[in-house]
Amino acid sequence: MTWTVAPLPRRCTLRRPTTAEGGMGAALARANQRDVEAAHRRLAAVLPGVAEPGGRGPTQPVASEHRGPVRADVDALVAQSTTASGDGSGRADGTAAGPAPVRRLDGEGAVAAGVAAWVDDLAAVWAARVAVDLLVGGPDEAGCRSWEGHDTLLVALAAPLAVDLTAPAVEAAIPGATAAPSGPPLWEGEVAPGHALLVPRGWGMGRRAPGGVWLEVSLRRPRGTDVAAAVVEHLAGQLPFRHTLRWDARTGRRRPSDLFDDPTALDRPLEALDLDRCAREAVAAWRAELTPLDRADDDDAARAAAGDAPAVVAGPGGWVLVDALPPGSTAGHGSGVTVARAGRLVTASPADLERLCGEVVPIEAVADLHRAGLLRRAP
Amino acid sequence: MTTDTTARPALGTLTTVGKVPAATAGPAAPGTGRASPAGWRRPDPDRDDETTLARALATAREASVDRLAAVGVDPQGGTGPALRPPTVAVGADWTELLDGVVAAALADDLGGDDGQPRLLLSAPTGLVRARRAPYGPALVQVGALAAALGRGEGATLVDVAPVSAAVLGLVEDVERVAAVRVRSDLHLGPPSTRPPTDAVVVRLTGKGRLGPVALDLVTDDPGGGIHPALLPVRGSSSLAATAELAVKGADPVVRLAAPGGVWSDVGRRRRWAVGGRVVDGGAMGRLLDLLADGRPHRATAARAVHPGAGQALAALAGDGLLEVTSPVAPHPAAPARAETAPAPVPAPARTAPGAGAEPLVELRPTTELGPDARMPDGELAAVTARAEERATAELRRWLPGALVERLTSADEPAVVASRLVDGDGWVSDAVVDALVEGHDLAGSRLEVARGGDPRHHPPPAALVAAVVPGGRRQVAPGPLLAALDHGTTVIIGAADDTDDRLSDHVAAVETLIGTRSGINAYLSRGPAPGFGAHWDDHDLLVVQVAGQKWWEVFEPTVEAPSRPHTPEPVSWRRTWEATLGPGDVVYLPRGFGHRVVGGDDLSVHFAIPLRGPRADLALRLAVERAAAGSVDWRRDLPLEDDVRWPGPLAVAEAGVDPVAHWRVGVPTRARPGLAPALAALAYGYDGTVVRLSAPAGAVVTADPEVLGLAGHLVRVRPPARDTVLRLLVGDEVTVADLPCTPYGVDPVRILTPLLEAGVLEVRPA
Repeated sequence: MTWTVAPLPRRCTLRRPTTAEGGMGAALARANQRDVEAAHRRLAAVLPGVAEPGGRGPTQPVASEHRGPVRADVDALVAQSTTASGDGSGRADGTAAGPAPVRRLDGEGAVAAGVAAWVDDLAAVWAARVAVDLLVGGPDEAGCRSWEGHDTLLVALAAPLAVDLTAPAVEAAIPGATAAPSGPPLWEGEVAPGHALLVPRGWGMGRRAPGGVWLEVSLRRPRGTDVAAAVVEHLAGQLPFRHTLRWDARTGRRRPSDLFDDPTALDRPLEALDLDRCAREAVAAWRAELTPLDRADDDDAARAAAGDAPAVVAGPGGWVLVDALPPGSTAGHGSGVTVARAGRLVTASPADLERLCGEVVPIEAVADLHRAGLLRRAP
Repeated sequence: MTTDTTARPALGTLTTVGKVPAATAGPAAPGTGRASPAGWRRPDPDRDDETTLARALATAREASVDRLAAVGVDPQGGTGPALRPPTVAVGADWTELLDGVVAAALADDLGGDDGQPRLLLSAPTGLVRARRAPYGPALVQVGALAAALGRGEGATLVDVAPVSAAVLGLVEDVERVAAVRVRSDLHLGPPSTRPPTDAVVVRLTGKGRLGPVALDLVTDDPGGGIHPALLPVRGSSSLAATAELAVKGADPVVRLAAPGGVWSDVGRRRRWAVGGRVVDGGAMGRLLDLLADGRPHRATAARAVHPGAGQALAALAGDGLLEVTSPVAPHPAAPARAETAPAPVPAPARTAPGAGAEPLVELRPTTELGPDARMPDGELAAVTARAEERATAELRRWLPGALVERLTSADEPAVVASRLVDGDGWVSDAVVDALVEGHDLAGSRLEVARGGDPRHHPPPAALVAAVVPGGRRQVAPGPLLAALDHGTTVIIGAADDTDDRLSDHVAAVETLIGTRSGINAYLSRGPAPGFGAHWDDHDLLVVQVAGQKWWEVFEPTVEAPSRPHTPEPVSWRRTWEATLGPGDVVYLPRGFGHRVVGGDDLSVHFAIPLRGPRADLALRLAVERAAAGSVDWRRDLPLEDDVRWPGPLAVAEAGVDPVAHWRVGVPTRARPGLAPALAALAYGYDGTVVRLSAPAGAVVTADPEVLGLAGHLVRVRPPARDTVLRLLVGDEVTVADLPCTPYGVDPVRILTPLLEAGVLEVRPA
């Protein structure tokens, strides 16, 4: 097998493969479907009821049971976080010195393998960017309160986590663009160790667990504003949008004048686009850039290469077809089919690519995929 | 300065043979702290070939002991492991010295990009914070610091030796006598807020003009675990003087700046370890015999000790082991140079005049800025126009009229070349020296390019000397010149921070174009291609400061190119070429490719990037606003494969002013002085001059009382409006002349919030 791997450049033209198109595209689509279904099955065993494929995300909080090895998670996370953050102090949440009410330990660097696996499954089912923080409650009663622009999964580990929730000010709230939640809590209660609570974005969350430890998994799914941002990025390369804006204090004149004086100047370039196609490309790019938390380490790779333990291709967004590379890009050149996954471009012959799409990684591909950060232990 | 290139030796290549391997140096032996168990030994005065070297080292140590004794530090008779923690208390009053150190340290860059902040706080107020402009230095926000000190809180500035010759000399003496690495930390605030003294070797205290102050010399190596041969090099060199080492007839002063002394190789004659480097050779030995006393020597005398001493001298300088200064400059071990002390003010009162009354001005972060920010009209537009007129008048003092007009012109892009009307503040050796001396290289402020590569790269480690862990990082002039001689172009960012005049010059440019800028200095030496042909994503104002450079400019490949949308290669269609000398200035529009080659001498040019908002910002803001206003656009997308455009997007109706949104985020350039700020907070602003720095002026918001300026949303209550409008002109104004005074409005209620936010400078009248 031969193939090349390169970083995924920005502004590629990307497309999600479908089973309807036949050939290589259909093979990739079937592999994607198989991977999502497998992730969903595993997730249903660890966090029943939390994640359903498709849909538009939760609008109401969802409680669940975390059926993972809670105690092992706590021990591994705390030990690993201490190592990862050097002095163990982690990133302070709140005041910069003195006893913080909550210590927020490292993000993905602190994730024990067991947690990373099911968080990656969440990412695969929802096509979500994920991050994991481990929080340690301070000795006093103070906790933390915030509202987020992403869904948040709270998983209580070492002690009950007291939570109060305030309804969002608007549906699908975005910090900085919509109002903050206000009013009295709609729900107050405790999340017991080994249980989880999924809080949709926009809900106000108070969390308190003196001396306790809990996980916060942030789940950011693609939304309409991401499609809009991708289209703007595309249009920014056109000449009318490359000019420098100027303003004259003496006359109040603005330049380029057509941009400021013509109210439809900004609408016209959008009208010239195939907007549905832009939306599909934006979502495909989103998927192609999703990187995994759970990657094989050197020992895993050695076992997989020896045939002792199977490995799979990492990348919760699945395979994405590359229709065009940005002008001037030297990545992905070579004979064969170029596809994207987990922030990488992979170019290979159709036959080799089809083998990579199998349920487990061929032994001869293990070392290369490991070097590229695309290898994961078979769950 | 004339350089005889035929006589110039290649720097740094002849007689130094590498770093001292830490394993062979090993730790210092317990008990003495001086002997070496492996590899290196002290020069033996009883060996004929080492007598001179041993005597010179003894002389250096005795001189350090004498100087320490003179300031009250008892090095325990000069034998044994002196000056170990715990604290050697020094009872004298060091107020005068420390006030000078405070002034210098507060004007210094805090660094911090490498995760080692140099400002530590004793109280979690969050009010004392660094101001960081794009590519610029991180400075103490003096208004907030003054307020914190007024509340009885404390602050520590880490590693202040590089900004004070007196402290640097003291540190070097302590390191030489105690054979430990020492860091110098300056504490402001009450003694109770100072950190524990476990690691303090020497503490100098005073009750200064800014309240209690202490300078601690601390060690992170109390057991002497670092071999003296690995102790870092001290001293502060002049770039110009270092360059003169290679100039025929020039005679700078050189000093071996290695407080750990010189160590002999156990197994090999004429091989030594010094300052972390291994050196060998007969010429080097004779040179060390002379320089090991730690005193300054004229370069001529040093070259005379051996036929190869000139090359050995150049090699030591190239490795950064020498301090090189001009003959007239004092060296750090000599009596301390006068520090610039702040103006005398009494200790601040806890309650300032006007405190307790409702502030007339309140500042909030711009994250709360809504979509309705607009460029002003009417009265506020007239204020902005006045500010631009003032800036234009200032610019015309040094920049030719054609170039001033070009800065705001919307005409066809074109290269404009001319000469400075007045080179004062631009063209001098002092300007070049200031780039290296006392300029902290935090973060990305030092980069290199070589071999025609059109990209900046991180500097090689040898170019940057981090003297103590967590301390400031400086360019080492010797290695710098060695790198330049090997065809490297060295880029030093934020050069406008080195000189108030340069800062004022750039500030005028900023006001005229309504954005933030700075100066990047490009240093090269010789015609080897350093920085390759490329085009910039912004307009550029170029000033040749020293030496000569040949410029070749190419047409842009497309109209108004921008990254990442325009391919990188230059067009190679030449449109202009010239050799620039000191005082030449060129305006280069965005996208014009250029290739620059230096002359034989040290060549320095300043590049001032002029980056304004682009039209795509209008589209981004309008689309963001339109999308954020519709739940269809805010919702998560369905994940099925037939994703569709979420729905109509009323971009035209969003009506966002992109210029206003750009300008409100343009940060301040203010650098207030601590002493005047403390005095103002304690006693009001009588007899002071103030200046507001909002380079892009102010914008209006949906709330008529709220302006956006310099990265803040500022609520200006009606009694303060005239005063704030007056300040927005941006010139220096006596507080008594502000419009509030005749109407009995207390200026404290207007000025203090601006001072604490760091956008107001206060100076004694």
